[in-house]
Amino acid sequence: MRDTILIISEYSDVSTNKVMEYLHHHGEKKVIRINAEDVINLNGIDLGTDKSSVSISYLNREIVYDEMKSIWYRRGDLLCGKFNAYGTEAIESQVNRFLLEEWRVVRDFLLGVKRIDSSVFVLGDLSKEEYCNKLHNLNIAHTVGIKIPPTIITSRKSELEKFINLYGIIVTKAISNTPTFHFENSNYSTRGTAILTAEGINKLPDRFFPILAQKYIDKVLEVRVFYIKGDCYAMAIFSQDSEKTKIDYRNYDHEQANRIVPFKLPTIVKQRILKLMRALDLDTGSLDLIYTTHNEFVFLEVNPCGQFDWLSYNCNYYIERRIAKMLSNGKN
Amino acid sequence: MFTNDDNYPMLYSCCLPVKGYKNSIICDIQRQSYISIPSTLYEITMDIGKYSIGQLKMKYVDEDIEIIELYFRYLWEQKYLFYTPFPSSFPKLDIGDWDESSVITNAIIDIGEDIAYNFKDILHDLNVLGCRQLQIRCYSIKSLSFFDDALENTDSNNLDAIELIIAYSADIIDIPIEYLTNKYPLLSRIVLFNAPLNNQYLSGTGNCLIVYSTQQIDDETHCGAISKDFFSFNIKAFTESQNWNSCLNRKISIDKHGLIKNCPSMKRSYGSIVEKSLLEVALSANGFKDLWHIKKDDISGCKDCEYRYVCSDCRAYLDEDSMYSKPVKCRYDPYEAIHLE
Repeated sequence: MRDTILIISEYSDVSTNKVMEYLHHHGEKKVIRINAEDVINLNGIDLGTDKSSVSISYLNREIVYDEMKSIWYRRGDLLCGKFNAYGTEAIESQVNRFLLEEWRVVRDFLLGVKRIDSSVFVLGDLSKEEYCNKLHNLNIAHTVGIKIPPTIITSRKSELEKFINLYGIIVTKAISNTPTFHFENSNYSTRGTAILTAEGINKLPDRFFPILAQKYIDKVLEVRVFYIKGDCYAMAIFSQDSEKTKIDYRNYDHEQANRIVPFKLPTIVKQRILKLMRALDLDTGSLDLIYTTHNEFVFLEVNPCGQFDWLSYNCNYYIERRIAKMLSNGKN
Repeated sequence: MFTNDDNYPMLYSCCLPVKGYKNSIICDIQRQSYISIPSTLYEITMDIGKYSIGQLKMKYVDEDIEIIELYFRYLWEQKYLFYTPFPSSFPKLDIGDWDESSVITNAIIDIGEDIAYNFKDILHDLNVLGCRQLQIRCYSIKSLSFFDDALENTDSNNLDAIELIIAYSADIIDIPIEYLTNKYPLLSRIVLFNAPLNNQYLSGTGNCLIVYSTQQIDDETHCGAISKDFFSFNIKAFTESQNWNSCLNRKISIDKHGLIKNCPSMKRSYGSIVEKSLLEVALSANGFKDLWHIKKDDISGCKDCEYRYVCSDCRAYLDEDSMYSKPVKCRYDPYEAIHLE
C-alpha cells in the first residue's frame, strides 16, 4: 500500500512543523521527516533484478520506495553516515572528496523519485535549489517578458562610474546569498541591499572582485509571491512607510511594522510568473517583486525553498494546510 | 489627499471595521490595536474601497465631503488607510477561514482534594489530541513534588505553553519557583493567588512570568471575567471568533472532582476521568462539541458590541438562563457605550 510521505527538511524549519501537524491531524500515519542535520543509512538499491527495490533507513524507520505516496523536498540535504577509509589517512581529504561525489550520485538517485516511480507525487527539488543561479533567473525572467532592474556584474571602477552616471542611484547586493561572517565570537551579517554612492565608488581601486550593481528603483510597494504548483499566493509590503525598510524590507522596523496585506496580481503579471516558473522548471518558489512609482512590476529574485510562513499567516492563506492536502492526496 | 479624483481610499485589509450599537471600532489585527469611531461613521467606513474620490464627491454634498476628508485624513495619519488607483489589487482578508491542525488546542485541569490524577495518561491524551496550551489550577496549597509529578511528562509533548495558577504558600516561592521554571521551560506563567502582595517579574530563564496576586481565590468561580485586559487582536483570535466560541472552542477540562467538562465552571459533565479518557470524550462524547459553535454574533448583548471579535467569552456564568445570553461578568454596555460599575 502506498501510504508513506517523506519530507526532507531541516530541524529548525517551522513551515515543515506546521505541514506535519496538518498531516497528523488529517490522519496520516506514515510521515517520515529527514533533517539535513541527521544522517541516513542506505539499506539497498536493487536494480535490474526481478525485484527492483529501493529502501533507506533513518532513525530506526525504514523507508521503502514501493510504499511511497508523496515526497516533499522542502530544504536541506540527504547526508550519508561517515565511514572510515582504513589505510588512506595520508590522502584522507582526497578520499573524502571522492566519497562525497559517490554519495551525491546515490543521493540524486534517491531524490530523483519521479524517475524511479512516476506515480509518486513530488513537490520541490534539491537539484533545482543547488543549481539555482540568480543571474540565470534574472536573465530568463527578462526573456519571458518580466521587467528586471538594469543589472551589471563588474570588477572595474570605470564601469561602476558609467553605471551610476546613467542611473543616478544604484544599489549592490550579494550575487549568491546574504553572507554572515564570524569574528571574535560575534556573527556579522550585511543589510541585504545597500546603496552605492559616488563617494564610495571613488574610494574603490580600479579593479576589484566582481560585484553586482543594480539601478535603484523607486517603489510604491514590494510584492512577495509564493508560487506552488501553478498557483500564486501574493502579498504586498508597504515598505515605503518606513525609512529603514525603504532599501530592503529585511531591515525590519519593529516600532511601526510595515503594512502587509493580501495582493491580487494583475493577470498579465501572473501569467508571466507562471511562464518564468515553467522556464525554470520550479514547482515551488518564493518570488520578490517591486511595484514601481511608474506602475510597473519589476522582478528581483526567486528562492526555490523560500519561506512562506510569514506570508501565509498575515494573509490568512493557510498554505501549510494546502501543502499537507497535496501530500495526502498525492496530487496538486 | 482628496486632490486626485481617480484614487480610491482603502483600508489596509488587516484593519477591520466592527459595528457596535453605539460605538464601532476598526481592529488592527496586524499591529494589534484598534481605534474607536462613533457608529454613525460606520456606513462611510464601509464605503471605503468602493468609491474613488471623484465618485465620493458626486455621492455626497460638500459639507459631508469635508467631514469625510477629515475622517479619512485621520485614518491615513493612523496608517489605517491608503490611496490607490487600483483597488481591486487589494482583496479583503478571508476572515471566515480559521483552522487549527489539532482536535483540542487548550485544556484546563483543576486540582481538587478528593482525587489523584494520573498525569501521565492525561498528558498522553492531550498530546494525541494536539493540545498546545495547558492551564493547571490548584485551589489548595501543594508541595513541590506534586508539581514535579504533574509536569514530569510535559517536555516530550506538543505543548507550546503551560500556565500554573496556584495558591500562594511560603514554601513555594523563590527557589522552588526558579527550580520549576528551570526544569520545565514550557512554563510561561505562574500565578500565585492569595499572596500577601501584588508583584510580578520574569523568571531567571526569561521565559516565564511570575505573578503574585492578592486576589482571593477559593474555586473555579473566579474564572469567566470579561475585560479589556483579555482582548486579543491577533488574526487567529479574530478569525476564530467569526464562527466559533471565543472561550470553549477546542477546549477540554477536568474539574476539581475529576469530571471531564468543556470548562470546569460548566455544569454538564461527560464522565469522570477515573472511568473515561480525555481522548474518548474529545473524539466521541455526545454533544461535547455543541457549545463550540456559539459565536459572539449569536449571543445577546455581545452581538451588538463592537469588541465582539476580540473579546473572550464565558458560557458558565451568564446573565440569564439562556445559553445565548451575555456573560454576567461583563461590565460593558454596548447600547450606551459605557462601562458599568
